[in-house]
Amino acid sequence: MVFLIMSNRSIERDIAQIALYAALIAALGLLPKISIPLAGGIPITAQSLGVMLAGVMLGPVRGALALLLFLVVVALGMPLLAGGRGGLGVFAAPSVGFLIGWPFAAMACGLIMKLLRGIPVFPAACIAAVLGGIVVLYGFGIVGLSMKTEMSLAKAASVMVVYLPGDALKVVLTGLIAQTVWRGMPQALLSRA
Amino acid sequence: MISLYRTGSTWLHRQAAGHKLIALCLISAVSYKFSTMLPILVLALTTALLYASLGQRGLLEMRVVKPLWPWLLMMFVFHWLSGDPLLGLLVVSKMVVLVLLANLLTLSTRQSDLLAALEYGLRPLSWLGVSSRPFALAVSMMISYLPVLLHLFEQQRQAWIARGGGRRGRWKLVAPAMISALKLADHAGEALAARGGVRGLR
Repeated sequence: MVFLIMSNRSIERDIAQIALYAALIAALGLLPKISIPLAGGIPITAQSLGVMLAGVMLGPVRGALALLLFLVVVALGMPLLAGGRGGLGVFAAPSVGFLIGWPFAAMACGLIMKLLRGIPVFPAACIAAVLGGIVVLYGFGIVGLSMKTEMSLAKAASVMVVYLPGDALKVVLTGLIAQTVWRGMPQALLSRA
Repeated sequence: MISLYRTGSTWLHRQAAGHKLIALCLISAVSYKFSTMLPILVLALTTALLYASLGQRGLLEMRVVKPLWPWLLMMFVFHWLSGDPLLGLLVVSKMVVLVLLANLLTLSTRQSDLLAALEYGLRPLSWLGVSSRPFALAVSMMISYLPVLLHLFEQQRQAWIARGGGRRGRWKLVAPAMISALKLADHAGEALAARGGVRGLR
């Protein structure tokens, strides 16, 4: 009985946290986007910071669920993707690979965070963010772009180079945030709890 | 909260959300097989007619594809340079038509109706003993968190300015803002549990 109450209590806490990270990703989409003139105006957005954070902080399952929740709300017609995009149309656009990759990227971040339990939070979070938020995410993004545009994988991959500097910055931010939260509110770093 | 839904009572608004969703999936699946311009042109014309049938503002709604232009240009140029401009045209026009069709559903279907269709689609889960209630709860919590979060960040920013902070170093606010947001979520979770939790929701 006690177990039942305990597990029931954690469901609400989990839902509250998952919804929070989904809302955070939406809020990050409202930040002004940076457009690089050279890349034909493809925006660099802060939203993938939210993807890394969700995975690193929530762990693999809850992190992936937060991203799924965000995508469902976008699909329902909320213009929450950077630049005010939303609705089902975004799943027909060339960047769909990234959207599908988000839950998997968060899951990878969370898994790696769990594997790196033994080392301090800052380096662990940075490694997790690089492998999940860049390697795994770009993998999905490149395959999606190449399928949608009939480009070769190598060509699609070369397009991604413009995103690297921004994403490197997000990796460091993810590490710093995870470390600060670990100091200030360790129970909130669910991937280590 | 703003939405991409457009209030109206056109014939398209009156169709069931689930039917529109299935139709969209079918058209998208079939269109992947298109390898010549003719079927795409027919589909594009049909799509334009559908937009026009929504009344005066209908055709204006087609501007939803505007933010896509850098991608579309890149795709076309790539195929042109690799010696197949026709394939480029095919890929680009297919994408424009599909985005327009999907947007047609988004602008003519209320979010609550789509959510209900989705919950209906998730019903097989309940045979496995998984309830769709936590999902519905999470959706509504996320939507209500968003303005709260923005308010919270704004508060942090104001406090930073009051302490004499400038534009530089503003990124330092992210972590403390994050902690206060996490505390908020913890309180919300506890309050939910105290009110009977997921199972208490009707």
